[in-house]
Amino acid sequence: MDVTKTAVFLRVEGALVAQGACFAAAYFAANRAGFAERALKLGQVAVTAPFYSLLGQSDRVLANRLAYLPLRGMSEDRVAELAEEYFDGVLRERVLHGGTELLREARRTGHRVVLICDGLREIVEPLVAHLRFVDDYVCNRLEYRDGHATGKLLEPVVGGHDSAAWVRRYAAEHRIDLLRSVVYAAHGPDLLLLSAVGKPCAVNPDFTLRRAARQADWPILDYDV
Amino acid sequence: MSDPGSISIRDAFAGRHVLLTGASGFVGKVWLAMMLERAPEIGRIHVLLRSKSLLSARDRFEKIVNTSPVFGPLHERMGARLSQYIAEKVEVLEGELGASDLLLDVDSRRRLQRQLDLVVHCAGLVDFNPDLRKALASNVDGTLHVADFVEGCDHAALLHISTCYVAGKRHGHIEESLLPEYAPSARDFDAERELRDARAAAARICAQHESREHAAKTRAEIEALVRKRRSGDRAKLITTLTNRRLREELKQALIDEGMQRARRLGWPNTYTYTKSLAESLLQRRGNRVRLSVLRPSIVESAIEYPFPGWNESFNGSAPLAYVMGSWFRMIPARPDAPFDVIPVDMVCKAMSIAGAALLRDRCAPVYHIGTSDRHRCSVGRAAELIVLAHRRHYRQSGQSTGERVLKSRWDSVLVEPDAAFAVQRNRALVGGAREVIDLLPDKVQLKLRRLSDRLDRADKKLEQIEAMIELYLPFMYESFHVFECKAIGRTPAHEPEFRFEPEVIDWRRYWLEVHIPGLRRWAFPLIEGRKPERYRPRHPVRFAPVVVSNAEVGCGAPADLPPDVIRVAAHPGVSEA
Repeated sequence: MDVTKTAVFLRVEGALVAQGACFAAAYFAANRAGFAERALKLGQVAVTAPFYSLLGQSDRVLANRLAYLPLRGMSEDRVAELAEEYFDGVLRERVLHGGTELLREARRTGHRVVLICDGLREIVEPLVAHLRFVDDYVCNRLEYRDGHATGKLLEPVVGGHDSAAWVRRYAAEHRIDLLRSVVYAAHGPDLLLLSAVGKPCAVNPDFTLRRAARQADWPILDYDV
Repeated sequence: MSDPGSISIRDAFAGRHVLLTGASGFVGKVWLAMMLERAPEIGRIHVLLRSKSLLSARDRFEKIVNTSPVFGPLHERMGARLSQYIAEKVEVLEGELGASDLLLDVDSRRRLQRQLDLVVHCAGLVDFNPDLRKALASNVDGTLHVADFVEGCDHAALLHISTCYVAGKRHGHIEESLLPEYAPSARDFDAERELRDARAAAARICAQHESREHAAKTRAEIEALVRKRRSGDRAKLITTLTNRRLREELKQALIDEGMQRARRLGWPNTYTYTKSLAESLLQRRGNRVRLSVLRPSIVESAIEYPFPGWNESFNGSAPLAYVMGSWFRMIPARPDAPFDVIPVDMVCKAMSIAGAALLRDRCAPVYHIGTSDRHRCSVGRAAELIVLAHRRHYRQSGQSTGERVLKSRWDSVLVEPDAAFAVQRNRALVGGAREVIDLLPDKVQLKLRRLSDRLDRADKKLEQIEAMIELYLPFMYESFHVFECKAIGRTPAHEPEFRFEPEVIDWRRYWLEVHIPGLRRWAFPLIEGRKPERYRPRHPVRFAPVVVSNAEVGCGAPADLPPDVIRVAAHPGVSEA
């Protein structure tokens, strides 16, 4: 008998945590080894931040690439340690209760829980361990050469319109019925991702997504960010 | 299926008699405990210890077994039975490596020379810059006396523990070989002649410093000083100060002489110089001694035995790690150079393998026991991980907000030795500030007394850091060593618990979760002059002098052993008082 499963795909940024890639990059930059390096890289983050915001609505892939550039030259050891620190000191307290409840409910109703995250693997791993009920996740990975970050992200870069294609591939590999599956997302560029499933839901949507969700008659969830 | 070339450590040591020197040291203790726990088939380990202060060798051994955390796993596993077990497996001999006959009585010496299968010579002075006289006595004479003893044995082999850094100031790939009459920067080096010259130099310095003229001159200087500062004649104070200064000057002169000789010949310090001298002199003995030299690199915290993080060495990376956790940030180092550290339990496993290979006649002449060849960690990475470990500690367990917020982010960085804020420049700044205060009127100076005291303390600390950096510079900046580490792999251990596999070390986990927390717990207290934790067993091992008959001495015991020989044995079943 051909048994298909269902899944809940949740875009982490906006639906589960309020902090995005730029915030994480600023934390990493502020905690580099040398004081001069810290100042320089923080400056770089400050310069890229407006571009990140602007590109966030059109090209999230490029925005993410820009956001993680200041990590160039940082050792893999430091990235791992700072990521753990960032999760413990910043992110853990800011995981949105509403998002966690959505995931808990998804698990209770027998859905496979999958996270789609712009964040780095080093940050997402402790988040996933903290949530405990995540089956799978996809996130961004830094490129390292000789133990140091090059500042580039490895392909495929998560965040853009490719997320929808990724969801379809994932569904095919895991025999998931997309028509009965759910996507929770918060930003305009996630429209294609939301359209890929039968049960899209806009969570804390930005202006673009809210308008689109209303037009498409998708449910909208708002909880405190 | 096991490797056909592998060697069973338990089988090789079964029923064998081993003499161990240096059992009170960092490596010796771990090896002793490991063999007692993991190779119970061993015949007997004869531990040569000297008496110290008021403690006999026997009392010292008892104290070591009952207080050192190294023996914790053995205590936990065996409980009250440990006394009995140690009585069966360990014989403590009072001896002295500085004496040509090791201060063993004739009968014990003869008995041992018949019984012994292997001598593991771990003892040595591991300070980088000890006084030359002591270094020669311990590292050279002690080794030669042990070699003499082994030459007199019926069939014993010698496993001599040295150091990779006998290579001195050479760069690149260092092969596992015993070079005859080796000195890194000298041609036509003659180790025998060098030893003679070094001894003569030490004797000359001693004669100079112990002469009446020198004592009288020093006394006169001290008298003048005391009179200038205090009124009246204080004969006792003058005598005390004179003696102290004479002792300190003599020690410093001997330290300087050792370092000068070492550096002139191409070694970074007196320790490596005397260790290399001993190797050259051992090699001269040719086939008279069946010998393997085991050269560990920088021996550091245990990765698993006796437990992760065990360390009591403050000559490895401990002082460096300690400084990097302070407010001083500028560490001169070459980031790409290999930082060859090896956990102490891996060294002990390698010792067991090399010992078994010697017992089975499958030994190599030299074993390098390090990581730079097989699983390298660079100076840059090690420094980064030290910094991150401090960061984690201060963030999670900082005593004050300053530590949690500021010190946790006060990361040390690697710099060139002549960098803007290098230690010498920091000292110059502090010295300058001190001079400015000295130029001020007395009234102002009085008001600034607290500041000038602080400056004095800072200068003293910086002076210590400067001295430490000078000692470590050859390892972290001036040399680029890759120590070949192949020989030990030719006879892999059959038993998994004795396998030497540096490739399994996850450096990040090792530095962050094992080594630095281990140093913080066991070695930093030693640097700070505090006593580290001691182990308190529920059933301490108690020794009592036991009169043993020849029959009780065990296999290989000579028939002519006098019946009244007193052998140290554990008294079983004594529970904690």
